[in-house]
Parts: sequence; C-alpha cells; structure tokens
Amino acid sequence: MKKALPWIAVLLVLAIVVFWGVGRYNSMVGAEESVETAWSQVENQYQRRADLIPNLVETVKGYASHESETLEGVIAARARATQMTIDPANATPEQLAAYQEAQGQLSQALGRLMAVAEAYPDLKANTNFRDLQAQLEGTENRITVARQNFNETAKQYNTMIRKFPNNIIASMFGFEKKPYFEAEQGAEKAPKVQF
Amino acid sequence: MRNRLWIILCLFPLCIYGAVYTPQTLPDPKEHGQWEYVANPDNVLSGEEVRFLNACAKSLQDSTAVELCVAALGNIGDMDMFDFTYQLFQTWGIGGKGRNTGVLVCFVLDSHDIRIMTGTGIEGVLPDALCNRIIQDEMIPLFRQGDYGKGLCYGAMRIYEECTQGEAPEELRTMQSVTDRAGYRKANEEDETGISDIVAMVALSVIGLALFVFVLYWSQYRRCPKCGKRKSRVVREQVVSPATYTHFGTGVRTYVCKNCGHTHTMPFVIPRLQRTVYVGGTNRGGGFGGGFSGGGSWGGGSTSGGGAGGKW
Repeated sequence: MKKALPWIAVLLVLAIVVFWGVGRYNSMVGAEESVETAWSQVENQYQRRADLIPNLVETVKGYASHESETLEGVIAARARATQMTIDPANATPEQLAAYQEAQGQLSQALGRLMAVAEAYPDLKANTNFRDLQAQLEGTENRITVARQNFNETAKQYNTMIRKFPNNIIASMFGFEKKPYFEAEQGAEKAPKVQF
Repeated sequence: MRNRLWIILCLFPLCIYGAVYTPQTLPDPKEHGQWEYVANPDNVLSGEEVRFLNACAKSLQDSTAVELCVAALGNIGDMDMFDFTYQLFQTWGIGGKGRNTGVLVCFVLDSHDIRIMTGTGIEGVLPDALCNRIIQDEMIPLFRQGDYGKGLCYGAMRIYEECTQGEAPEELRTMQSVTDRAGYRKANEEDETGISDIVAMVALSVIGLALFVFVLYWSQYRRCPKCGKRKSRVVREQVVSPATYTHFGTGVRTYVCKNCGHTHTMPFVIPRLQRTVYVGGTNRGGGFGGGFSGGGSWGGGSTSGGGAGGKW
C-alpha cells in the first residue's frame, strides 16, 4: 500500500487526462462533421442552380435564338462549374477559391443572360420563363444562406481547434483549419431579379 | 422655442411609423396567444384583416400542420428585405421542428417590399415559382391600388388553397414522415455518442469517488512528531470548554502513531454554535405551479431561404 499510493495517484491523473482528451476529440469530430454537412448544403444548392440552367437556356433560345454567344457562355460556365468538386475534409483555401471562382463565373454568365432577356418582351411575359426566373432567384438566395451557414460553422470549428489546450489534441490527430468563402466581389454578385 | 419646434418636427415621422424594428426586436404575436399569427406593430392592417388572417392561419394549421405567419411593417430601416425575412423566420422558428413546414409572409410598406419565405419542408408544395405567382397575381395588383390588407388576405387565401388542394396535403404528410425518419436517425446517432458520454461519465465518477475515498483515508492521519511518518491518528477527543452561541469552544485531541506508538496531544477549536432559524409555515400549500401565461410559441422550424419576393 505504501509504495502503490504514488502510482495510483499518477494513474488517476493519467486516466483523467485521457478521458478529457477523448471528450475533446469527440467534440472536434462532431464540429468537423457539421462543417461537412454545411458544405454539402452549399454543394446541393449550387447543383440545384446548375440543374435549372438547361431548361432556362432552352426557354430563352425559343425567343432569342440569335443571342447564341450569351447562351453558349452560360453553358460553358455551367460545364466548368459542375466539373469542379472538392473534398470538404481536406480542401485548401486555394481549392475553395477556385471553386468559388468557377461558380462566380457562372453567376456572371447568368447575369448577362438575364440582362439580354430584358430586351425581349415576349420572353419576359412567358410563364415558363417567369417561373424559372423565380426559381433561379430563390436558388441564389439559398446559395447565399448555405454559404453563410458554412462560414459560421467553419468559424466555430476553427475557433475550437485553435483554442488552448484543444490545439494540442487537434495537432495530434491532424485536425486542420477549414477555409472560408470570401466575401463576393461586386462583379460576382448574383443577378438580382427584379420585376 | 424654435428649437423645440424643430425637435417635434423631426420626431413626427417616428410617430407615424413607430420604431424601426429588427428581426430581434419585432414583438412576437405568439406572446399574446397560441392562435395569433399576425405581427402588425405599425397598424398597417385593420383589426378585421388581422382577424381574417388569424382565422386563415389557424385553419391551415389545423388541417395541414402548416404554420403561416404574416408580418406587416411600416419600415425596416436600411436592412435588406431578404436578410430581414430570413432572420425573422429563423429567430421565431416558424413551422414545426424537424418538419419545417412554415411560411412567412413579410410586407414592408415604406420600401414597397413583399416576400414569401418557405420552410425547408414546404418547398415541394410551395416552390419558388408558385410563391412568385402568388405575389404577382394576387398581392401586387391590390397593393398597387393601396389595398395592402386585402392583398395580404388574398395572398394568405391562395397559400391556404395551395396547401389544402389536390395532392398537397398528402405530400405534406409524406414530408412529415420523411423528416420523422430523418429525425429518428439523428436521435439514434445522438444515442451512440450518448453511450460513450455515459461511459466516460461513469469512469470519471468512479475515479472521482476513488480519489475522494483516498483523500478521506489520507486526511485522518497526521505527521508523527517523533518518527516523522504520516501515521498519527486521533484516538480520543476531549472538550475543554464547550462552544456557546456567543463563543467558540476548545478541546484536546490525543494522537497515537501507528508506526512508533508515540502519543501526543493537540488543542483544537470547536466552532461557535449556529442558531437555526425556522420560519413558521414556509410551505404555503401549492400555488399555481408556474402560472398560466396565455402565450404560445412557434414550432421551431427553419428555412434554407426559399420563396420569392417582389416590389410594387
């Protein structure tokens, strides 16, 4: 008993440290998981926008077939944007910036298409076009919300893994800082659909 | 006098529109009762219109469990209409939790803004294009004539019809079961982490208990002045002068060392006696158990920002 006491004390302290570490580790895994969920929402909404485009292009083509340059611009930008997928678990800020740029170019191309559509009263009066326009606007709003949500979740996670003493466990198990979406440049702004 | 006149003149517009509300400061109609669905702080709507909208929203909730909220405001300052509507939806949590079948119709008179925002569970029944049609076909023509309340009532009627006609009720029901399943899965996941948490908690409390017992065991021994080992233990306690309510008392403890058998004595202090104050009849027999506030709340739903907006 006399000699065992210090060992028991050391073991107790060790056990407490290990249990604390397990708890921290688990909450970091949870936080990382919610960042990934937030990311999949962002991807879903971008995908939803990409799915709207073929229909939109077809509708516009019916009324403004000689605007082929703008239409092709949209199709090409959509192809580039949908090709690009990134793994949220180990995305670098550069990858995210490239993803954001591809999606931003699609936004610009869509903006040009909407501006062109303004010149065609028949097209603007078309019910199908109006519905697609409303859906596009709703989707742009959802994208904004999903991106904000992603940034907030990533910020919570980043703060968590950088705080002491969490950072020790984070570096031990390779938890890395997640990149953010940068604020949109004026030119990249989603097309505002006004009536 | 002139200064005062200026101040009054400057404050006058505020009297017309009242305060500028933010999503966080806008009074929640649910505070006045479970069957209140209309926020009308600037009296944009007449009492009759509010009653109509409430009745419409209540029967919608009764038949399809869709929560409809109408907010009609004078102005929202510099805030963006979409941001305002989104934050209001999330702050109040319109629509059932997990099912997210809430609809918020937000109207701002000053900036001529109207927006319908749909919860994530109702997007199938009220897609953005349909919301846009409701705004363009039902509301805006009346808003242009200045019939704001009438426009909102017709819009609410149309939302009610869309949610109750055709296959919409069935779709809302299946939506409910889908989200229920998702909710069930989520609960299970939480359970998994819960078990590991419980294991960790049990282990920690066992360790804590062991530590406590150890400290208790350790603290009954004193260092023996002769052999220096922490093996001296109290065998006898003698009161020299007992403690009273005004004075502490003293006593003497006799220690015997388990290692060398050395006996020594140490004086100790007995704390002053405490008068326990009994208050007669503290238990006044029940009462109302928290009372009845008469208020209600929204279901706790959320939105991903769907819906449509327009201007007139």
